[in-house]
Amino acid sequence: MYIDIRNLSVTYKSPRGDVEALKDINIGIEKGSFISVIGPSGCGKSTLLKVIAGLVKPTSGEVWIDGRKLEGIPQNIGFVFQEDTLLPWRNVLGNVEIGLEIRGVKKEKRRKRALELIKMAGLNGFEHKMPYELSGGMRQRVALIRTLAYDPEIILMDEPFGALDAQTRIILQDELLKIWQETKKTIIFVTHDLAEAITLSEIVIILTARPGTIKRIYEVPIPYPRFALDVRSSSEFTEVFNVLWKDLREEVMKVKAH
Amino acid sequence: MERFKRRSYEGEGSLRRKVKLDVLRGVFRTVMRLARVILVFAVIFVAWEIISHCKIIDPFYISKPSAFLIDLWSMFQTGYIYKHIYATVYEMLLGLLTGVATGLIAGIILAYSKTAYDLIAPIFASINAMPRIAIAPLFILWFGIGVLSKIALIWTTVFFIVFYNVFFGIKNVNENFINAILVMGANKRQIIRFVILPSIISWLLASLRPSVAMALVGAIVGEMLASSEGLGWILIYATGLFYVTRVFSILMLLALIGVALDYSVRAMEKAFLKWRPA
Repeated sequence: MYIDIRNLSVTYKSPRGDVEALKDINIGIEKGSFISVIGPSGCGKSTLLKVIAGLVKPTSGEVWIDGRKLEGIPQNIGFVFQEDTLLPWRNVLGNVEIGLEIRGVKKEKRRKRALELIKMAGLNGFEHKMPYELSGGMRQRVALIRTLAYDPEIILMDEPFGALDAQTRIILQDELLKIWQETKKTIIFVTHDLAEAITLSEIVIILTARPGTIKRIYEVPIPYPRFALDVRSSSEFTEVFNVLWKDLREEVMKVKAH
Repeated sequence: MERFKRRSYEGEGSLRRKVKLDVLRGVFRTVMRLARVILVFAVIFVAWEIISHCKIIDPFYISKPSAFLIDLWSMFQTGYIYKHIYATVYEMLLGLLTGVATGLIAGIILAYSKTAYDLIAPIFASINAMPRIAIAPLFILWFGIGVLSKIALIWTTVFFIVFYNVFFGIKNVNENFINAILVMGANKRQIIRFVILPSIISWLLASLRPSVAMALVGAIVGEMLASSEGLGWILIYATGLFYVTRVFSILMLLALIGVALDYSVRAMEKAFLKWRPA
């Protein structure tokens, strides 16, 4: 397994008592696969990503990446956050370049790479705009290519399209599908939108309500190449959606009952 | 509707025309604003002149615009005023410089050292709670009636403004920004360079406007208490002689200086903080 999560549990300590975010998670992820993680809010989806990124330490259990036990922040990992994390004092070009700048890549080289990606994302003409001058969709595009710029093996995405309107979302889903099909990065995608999870990924993992445990691991039987709108109108999609929705619904209702 | 129109692109030519129009519109708006301000002041001064001239209020107490404007003019003509403006501005600048520098350093130290914070923060809080003017007599005793006592007085106000801004600025640095570049492999030095320093600069600039305003207050109050030169000294001296016209001349001058300083700090903020929406 490329990413191996073994008996992972995370408990947050707080003065009002401990909160168990994840409990006994076991997942194996193969290189180059596209995994979605879905579950009711507060089930620890984001925590799972943060553990893999080395930003949160597991309370117990281990994470292995490419045969090495995770300690600290792994190299070659990319993270597209739910929140807007573009640096507001850098323009688009500066934001896309930053990963390469951190790695000490020479100025001309990183500029060339950044301009390529900006063009690919259809953002040409916006190189020198500041983040506040961009729309939400553009900002998430920049966040995505900022991650692609330094070519990480694994890309973690935490509800990256959560704040976007429905149309922009579908466009960006298609772009992401295209990028994944071309680059074959390993992507772990957290979302609360079941349709999005099915549309994008090979495997959907449903987590239970807090503490998050694995409820079901489901392989989506829809072949690639996929296009967001086509997937949604296919009969397989409806079938898969109904099966997974039953599971997800149970967990969402549990949260509501509290 | 207008904004929507301006944002859409309709080809090179019309865009350029629009930009030109925008510039013209901006110039026009500035001229109009200036005209409005001048008009308001003209009305006030004329009313003041009439009230004084007709002795509705005794001109001994309120002077009149014609008198103090001529007085102000003659102070510049004879060169009498320059040395006093210089003294006041000199105190302000030195007070500002020391206050900003030390406030910045203290803010950084206390934000990163828990021990320093626990030891020093209560002292800072109690000094900051004190009306600073109350310390002024002590400063005069310690540092004399020269420049030094005014610098000290200004320092006590500016220091705390800058200190608290920088301190809370660092404490509130967006955690998400740090996480985002941490996963890209940033080390501690790079986090400081790419995230923390830019945040501090923006907070520091934000503290500059109130600092400059307080520095002017500090200089004038210091001079009024004990000094041998400066605009505050003229104020006290003229009041003592019942020379109300001179008092109003200096007040007008101070208003002008205050506005000019505030305007320049704002221009500086704009230049440095281009990345912030206006």
